[in-house]
Amino acid sequence: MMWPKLDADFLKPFPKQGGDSVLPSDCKTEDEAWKQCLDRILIFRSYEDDWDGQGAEAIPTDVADSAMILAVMLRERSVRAPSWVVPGFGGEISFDWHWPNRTTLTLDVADPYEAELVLLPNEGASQRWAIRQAVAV
Amino acid sequence: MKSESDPITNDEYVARLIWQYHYKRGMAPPIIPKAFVPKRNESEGISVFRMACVANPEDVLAAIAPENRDLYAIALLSVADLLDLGLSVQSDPIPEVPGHAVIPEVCIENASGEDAWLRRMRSLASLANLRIVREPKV
Repeated sequence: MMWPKLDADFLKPFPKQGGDSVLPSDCKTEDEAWKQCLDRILIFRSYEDDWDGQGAEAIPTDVADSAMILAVMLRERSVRAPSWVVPGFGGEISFDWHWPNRTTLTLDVADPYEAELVLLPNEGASQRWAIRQAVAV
Repeated sequence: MKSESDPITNDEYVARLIWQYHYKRGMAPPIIPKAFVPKRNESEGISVFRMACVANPEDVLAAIAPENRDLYAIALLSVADLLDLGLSVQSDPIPEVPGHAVIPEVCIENASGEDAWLRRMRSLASLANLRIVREPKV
């Protein structure tokens, strides 16, 4: 399995490096922020069931691996590092970009090589995109 | 202190336990909306704890295994504010700590990616960010 090519339409909502979305407060540079993001995914990959002590589900390794690969692909395409990356209680991995005006861009990887992207402004309707694994022929 | 059997009143506060990765230390505001996404087993609603039934907020950590307690922040939500959001708080006693309750509208069955749901998560995070009483200790 593999990610499809990230086309211009899918990449459009992502902030570019040097943009104005918020970086993690403990990172001084975007390189540091991307490194933290990838390191965190490795940590989440090791989570087993009940990792939060309240019934959260383990992060499947193929979900974590595909999220890692997608993060690297975004970095290679000059996307700004996310404001945070978090594990979901249902076994997903979510990347969020956050702006001071409360706009958020959320990239959820809930299944291997499948992702949904939601741009939610402070007011008004969201915009959504999805990418699915490429089919080998 | 109130008994668990006492009705929940508008002037009460409830505590939400916030997992460490949903608390972004150094960011303003630190609590992110995902702190309120229900788990798959939260079919009755997300867990909160009535402050009126405990002596102090950290008492609710008794619901968490000791080795995990340092990994949680605690934030308070006003019952009146929750009602203004169209949410309710229902008593749901558990043996570990008095005052356990749920917000039944925020349950796994209602979870969706729709805008209204996402904004509800955002509103809950905004309320929680007003009253953070404990940061994670890691």
